[in-house]
Amino acid sequence: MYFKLSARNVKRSFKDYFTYFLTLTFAVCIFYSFNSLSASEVMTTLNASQAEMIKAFTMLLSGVSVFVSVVLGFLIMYANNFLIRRRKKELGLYMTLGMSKYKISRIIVVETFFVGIISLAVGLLLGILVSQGLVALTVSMFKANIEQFTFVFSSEAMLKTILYFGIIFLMVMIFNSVVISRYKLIDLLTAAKKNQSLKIRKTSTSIVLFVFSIILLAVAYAVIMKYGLFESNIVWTCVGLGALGTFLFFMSLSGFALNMIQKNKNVYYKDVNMFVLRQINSKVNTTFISMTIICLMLFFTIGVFSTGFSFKASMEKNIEKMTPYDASLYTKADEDGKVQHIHDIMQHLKVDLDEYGEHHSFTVYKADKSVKDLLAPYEDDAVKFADSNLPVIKRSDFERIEAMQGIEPIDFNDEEVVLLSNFEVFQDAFDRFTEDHKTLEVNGKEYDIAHQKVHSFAYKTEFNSEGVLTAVLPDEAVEGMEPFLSVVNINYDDNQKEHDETLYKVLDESDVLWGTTKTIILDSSVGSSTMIVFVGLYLGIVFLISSAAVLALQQLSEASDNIARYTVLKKIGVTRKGINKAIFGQVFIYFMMPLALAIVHSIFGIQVVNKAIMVAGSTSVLVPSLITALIIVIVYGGYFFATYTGYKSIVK
Amino acid sequence: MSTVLKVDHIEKYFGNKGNTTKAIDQISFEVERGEFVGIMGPSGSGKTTLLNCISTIDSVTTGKILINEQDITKLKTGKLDQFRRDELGFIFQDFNLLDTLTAFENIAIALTIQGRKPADITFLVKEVAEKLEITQVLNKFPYQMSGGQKQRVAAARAIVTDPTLILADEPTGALDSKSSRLLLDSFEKLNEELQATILMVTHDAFTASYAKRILFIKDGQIFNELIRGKDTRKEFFNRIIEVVTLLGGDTNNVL
Repeated sequence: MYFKLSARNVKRSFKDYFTYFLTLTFAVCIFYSFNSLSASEVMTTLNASQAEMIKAFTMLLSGVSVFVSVVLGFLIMYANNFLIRRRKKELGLYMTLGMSKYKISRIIVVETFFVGIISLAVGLLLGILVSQGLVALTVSMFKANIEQFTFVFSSEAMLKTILYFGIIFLMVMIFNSVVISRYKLIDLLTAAKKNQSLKIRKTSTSIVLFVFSIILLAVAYAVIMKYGLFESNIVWTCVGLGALGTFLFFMSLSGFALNMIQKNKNVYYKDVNMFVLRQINSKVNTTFISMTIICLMLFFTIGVFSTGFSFKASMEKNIEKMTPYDASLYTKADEDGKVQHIHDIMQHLKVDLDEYGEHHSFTVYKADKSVKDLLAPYEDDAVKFADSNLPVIKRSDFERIEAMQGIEPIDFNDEEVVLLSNFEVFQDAFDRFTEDHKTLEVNGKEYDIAHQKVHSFAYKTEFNSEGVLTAVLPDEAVEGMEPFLSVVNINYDDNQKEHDETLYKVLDESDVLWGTTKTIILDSSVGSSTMIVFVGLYLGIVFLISSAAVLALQQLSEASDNIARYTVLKKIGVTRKGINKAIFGQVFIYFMMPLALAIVHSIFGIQVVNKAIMVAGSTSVLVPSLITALIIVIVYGGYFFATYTGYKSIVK
Repeated sequence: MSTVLKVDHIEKYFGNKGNTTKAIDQISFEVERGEFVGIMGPSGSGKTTLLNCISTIDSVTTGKILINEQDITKLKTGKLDQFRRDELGFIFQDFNLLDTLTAFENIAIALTIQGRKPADITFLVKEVAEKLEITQVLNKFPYQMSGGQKQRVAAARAIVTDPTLILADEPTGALDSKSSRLLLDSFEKLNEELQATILMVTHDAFTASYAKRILFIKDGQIFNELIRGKDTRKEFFNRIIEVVTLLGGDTNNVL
């Protein structure tokens, strides 16, 4: 009998359940598809050197999934709470009929179970569909090709999804039972009549707060635009200022806007504008906290979606610059400060470099100046990276490796020093440095700085450049300098895979030999950039759905409180069309408020990110931005439309 | 005097085939411009159904209702809303004020949905507020007002559009006796000074005694009609009580 009651309730209140159901299904779908990535077969058949990356990727994704499941858990709790509140009267009726709280809880538990099972099933089906696309996308991002379409299904991810959502549903059931056991009959029966007390903030306070919030936001925008993303302290200050500004903005917005619009009688006294504005004002005064969070979540989503791909592309472009040679091997000075020549080591290891292709070996010397002292006045972070003495390369060696790279030779004379760096992040500091210094003194001799700039150049293939800054001096100038590294750069003739494998073996065997290949760096950087993009996308989608769902639920729960108000409007002669217009206006403004500010935030945010990316090599954010807009229109717009329709049917 | 409302042999059935209830059974009456008519009857007599039919919220099964010589039973939905907006004013038992709006805005909204000019709106609202003595609460929200003030704001909203007919459904139902008296005094004033036509449904004899003419309804039919004529209110009240006793003695509702 109770089972029947539950089943009928779900069927009957399908409209109420729709948003809940939609949200659950989306949540399950996203959770499954992202988790299926790490377990999918295709991923493991990628390049062997990517295996480590995949492992890290899996770890990261499962970590993020825990966070996501917490977010989704809260969202589901919130949605469920809304449903229970809507049904207070019905529950009260059961109680007056003599049903015990225990039995009511049981009905609700069965209902939660029903909805949970259905949404889990639908969500998993959708998830399996979505994951096909997602895996294809991932594989293409890892720069591998799959010849034929393979159907991807991960039972592991499915079990994980079922487990995580099972726990969430279980918590929802417990939560419901607790809530129901606390209800008093009188509250349940009179729930509809209860007037929410209106919090009215003083107009003057609103205006002051609003102006203050605009100033805060303007300052945050200005500072971040000026300093960019490289100074982490400033970035975090800006984020803090922006968040505070957003919070105050929503706290005061409706009061401020109401005041402004009230002054314009033509707008305020038109149709039911007055009513719509007051509706929003009364609601926003109590929901500005969730508005702030939603706005920031949307900002994150828009930012990540529109810059993620170009960020990845530029990161990879940067990597190309850091890996001009197919492989670089080197050996470091031992404790006595002596450096074995790299050729001797290779001979000892019985490796014939001629077999690999074009190669050149050379020694890197240490000057008497530390890079830190040179750069510290221009870059705070220099201390962290540039802790060694200035490395020096002979001119003749430099010309050889320039030729290996096949680039236009840098032209300079014997009185000049060429400064090299592949540390793009410090470009601004380098510019400031060369503006102040026309000459550089190395080991007692003064040299003019060639071309008055630091050239972008890597003397070996390496994850991070050694010493940030490198100097090229005439051959005779290095006499008396302490050797520091012995390096060989190799460009393969062909057989890249084979050569890579043997070099890995050699590197593994020897404990004095260091180095890396272009392949390793490319793979790992593609992996890490892909990882960043994916985690961004994952969180972005979850945030987008959460924001839209919270807004939708707030509006729908308000709709049932508002039935009385709309009935009054109907009775005093507002047409159905007028009422629909009022509802549309209310829901639209409510959905647009956080989105609008998030878009403004994003315009600045994207510009800043773009500037940072420009340093590394420019990429357009136009296409990703358009795709982002499309995704937002579909998901956010979908929720908006569902809310509008639901609202209309509740008020009818 | 012209006829404002003409109810012509209306019937209203509830339920479906084989199981119908006659809520209104062949009721006919007329209301002239400037009249203050009360409708009385015990619960279930059909008085609220009658009011709903006149106010276009509900439709009749047979018969005609003419307001200002326009047959409202033949109007389409869109026209009905418009008609309700322009020709009728409502006062309800539970005030039905919008709690998010101030008193001023609650009155103004009746005008804004008619598309009046902002300048006219301010003037009209202030004028009607003065008549009903609510000027000092105009900037308050409903939760800051007393019941009587709320009902007078509701009355102001009903008459500010200068409707052909004001319909009041148990207007004193949620008021204490002092507030009731104040409200009914304003009704009287509106009726006498502004020639407002009022049709009021009530089951309270004291409230009814403010009307000029009373229709008694029982089991969906007009049972009796009382005209105040030159009587004082006290005398009229006593005559009402007599009919009420005759009607089946709802003495609980006798003040």
